[in-house]
Amino acid sequence: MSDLQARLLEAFKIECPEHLRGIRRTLRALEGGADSDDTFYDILRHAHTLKGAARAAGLAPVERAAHDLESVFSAARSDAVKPSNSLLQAVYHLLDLIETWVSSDPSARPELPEISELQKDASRTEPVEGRPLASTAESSSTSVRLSEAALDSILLRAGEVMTQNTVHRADISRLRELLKGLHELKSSLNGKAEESGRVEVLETLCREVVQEQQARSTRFHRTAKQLFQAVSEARLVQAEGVLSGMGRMVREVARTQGKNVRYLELGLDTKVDRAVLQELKVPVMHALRNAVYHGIEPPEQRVQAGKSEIGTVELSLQLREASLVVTIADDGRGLQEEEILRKAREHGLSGSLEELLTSPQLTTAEEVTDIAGRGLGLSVARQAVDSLQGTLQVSSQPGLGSKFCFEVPVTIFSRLLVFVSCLGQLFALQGHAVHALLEIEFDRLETVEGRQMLRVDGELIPIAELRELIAQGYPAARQRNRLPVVVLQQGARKTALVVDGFESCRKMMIRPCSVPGMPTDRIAGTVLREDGAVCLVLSVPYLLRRTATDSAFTITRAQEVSVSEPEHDWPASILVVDDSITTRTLERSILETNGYHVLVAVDGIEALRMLEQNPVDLVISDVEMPNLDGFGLLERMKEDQDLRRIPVVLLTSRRNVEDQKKGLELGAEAYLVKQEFDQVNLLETVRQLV
Amino acid sequence: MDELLRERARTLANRERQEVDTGTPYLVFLLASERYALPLAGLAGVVKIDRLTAVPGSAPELAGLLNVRGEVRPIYDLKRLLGRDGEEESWTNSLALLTTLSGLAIGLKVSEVEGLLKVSSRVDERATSSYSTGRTETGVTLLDIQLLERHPLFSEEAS
Repeated sequence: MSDLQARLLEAFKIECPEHLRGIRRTLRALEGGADSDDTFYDILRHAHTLKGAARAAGLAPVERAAHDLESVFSAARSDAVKPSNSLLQAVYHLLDLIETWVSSDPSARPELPEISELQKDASRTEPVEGRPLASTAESSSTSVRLSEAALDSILLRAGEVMTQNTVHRADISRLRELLKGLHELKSSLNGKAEESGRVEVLETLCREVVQEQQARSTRFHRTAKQLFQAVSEARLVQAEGVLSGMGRMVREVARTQGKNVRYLELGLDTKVDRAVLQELKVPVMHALRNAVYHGIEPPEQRVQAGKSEIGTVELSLQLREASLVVTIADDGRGLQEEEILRKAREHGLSGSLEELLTSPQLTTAEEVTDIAGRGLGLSVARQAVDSLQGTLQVSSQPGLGSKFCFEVPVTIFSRLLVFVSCLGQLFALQGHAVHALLEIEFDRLETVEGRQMLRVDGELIPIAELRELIAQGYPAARQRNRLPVVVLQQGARKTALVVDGFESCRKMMIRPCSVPGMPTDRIAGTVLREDGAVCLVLSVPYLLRRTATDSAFTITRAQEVSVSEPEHDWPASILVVDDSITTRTLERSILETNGYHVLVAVDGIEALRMLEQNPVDLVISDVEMPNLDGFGLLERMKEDQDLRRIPVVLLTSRRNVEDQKKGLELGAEAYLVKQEFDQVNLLETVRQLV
Repeated sequence: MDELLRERARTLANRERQEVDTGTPYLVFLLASERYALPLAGLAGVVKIDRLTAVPGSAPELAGLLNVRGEVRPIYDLKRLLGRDGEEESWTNSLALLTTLSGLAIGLKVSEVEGLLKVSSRVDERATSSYSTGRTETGVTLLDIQLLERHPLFSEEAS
């Protein structure tokens, strides 16, 4: 066996149990009475992917068996018939045989008969032979390499060590305030030599502690960052290791289709996070297969069209900033857009070309074969891209070829999350699925066929209360008729959810969390916030599914509308940066009294950190500060893509024209001089800017 | 003869004391007002339940998720696991016993920890529930982690 073959087989052995587990789980759901289209789709998706993987690994019998599975459930799905018990038992039996087959020595592999034969056997020999224990299949595994889970766990902890340091730094800031207070106390004790002397001793002691802690924190941070980078890099692998089986698959498909194909690979030495590659592997496989099957024309057609007899299919990987771009291109006939649109109309579907192509209901294949044609391939691709928070672009030129372009983040370490409050608890939603955050008046809701809907960008979408979706029977006790609404979108499907409030947007790592008793369909994972609280990440597909299928939700008007609603329902956030606790306190109290949400930082460095972690609408900063002054902060903010647009007001005691000029040249929106500083002036400036 | 009997009584008494000393250490705790105990060897620690994140739609036995030294751990309500979920009590001040169940690091929510108890073999072995191994003379129900693993919540393959 060649090295490559061995690697492919090894990869298959890891992947196969996942699909078998997935199918078994869905079979149990069928037994339990589930019969939705989604249930069948789930089995089909696993069977389809298993088939492709088996082909790539050169395991024809498994490939045939998976195709058999696909055919059986495809038929059941289109007839909308619940499979009989004997059929389900036969399928269980086949899954067991596949499991044994994969883990056995090539010489001792069992036959993989067709499901119909197994069904006959089952009816002859009741009861059905018990399934082998999972351990017998798994014990033959001799893999000793470091598991991905172990690596993830190390990475997670490295990330947490960095978070811990942020907490430490906050402690140091507090110590600095103490030091400053002692200094001020000493100055105020003018003339009282004894007390002043005692305070001075304390001040010196405190200063030493601050310096030591600061130095320790810097060292600690450096080491933690190195650790984090080292572990992150350990996760990176050359794409070749995961994607190298594709050429063989392309050639085989070409051979069975009677097509001449030249296959090119570019950039397979690119280093990418292994998890990203694993997730992309299946979509890439489908796209390549589609390129040969749908794209490349038979040789005679190509010659007639004045093209070379040999078609070209190319897989290329490229890094673009923090993204990995994977392109699958062919020089075939291009996408038959009209055909796709016609089919879409037949199925009552609408949307962009990408959406239609990735819809599970659509297929453009004229006949069902084992190569492609059930329209599942690209919907699998869509799911993978969604879960990686990436994008998929399709372009095509009639007669010249088509191109599929996946763009995904190089690492899956941190995800953008939107935190919302509901039922007195914070929940996170994956940022890529959040289309908009709105505040709407109750009267904007429309009722269509007895269902409440919301018009967003001209489109009517269903709306529901998040609290009802995640925990039924909690009526909303609304005070006001202004509703904070999150609009979620996945593919063409959109839905609006009423929440209790918006909290923040942040990048964080999601930890999977499937423990007994956990409703894993509705919870996608957990995140650990800086304050140590565990926060649940809600599953977007679940929320979309529930609002689409369940029409029993009603959003009721508030009982009593409060007479004087505050002007800002979601108050603007202002970050006050000043090294003097007095100024901070003063500004904070003025701004908070006027309904703003205020964050404070003691210097430019802390301000940047807070800007990274919190959404801020305006920064009011002192100029003279330790570590990083107001000019420095302004400069750094203007260099940053995201922070650039936040207006900055500089506030200082200097009445220096040069300084004012410098501040404004650097991009400050306003410049206030402390001597002229008064409440009215400050508030007027703030009102103009937010 | 007397001497012989005294000698024998001493030996017996010693053996008794030895048995007490070498008995298995258990941690005694309260669930509502009843006393239960788990073998100390199977426990990794006790933490105060502070800011438990409730999981909407979860099995009632899953009290919530807790950050235990940077790990997200599921906390199960031991009272409900034992099927004694009659009276409701506040969980704000309860404790979690840290342990491992079927390879999964979990916490078991209890009301209060009473202390250690060394249990010799002389207990009433008539099990009072499917998860207990017996009951001491002082009325403490002895539980067993391995038996808890057989609870339907843990023995069914998580789906």
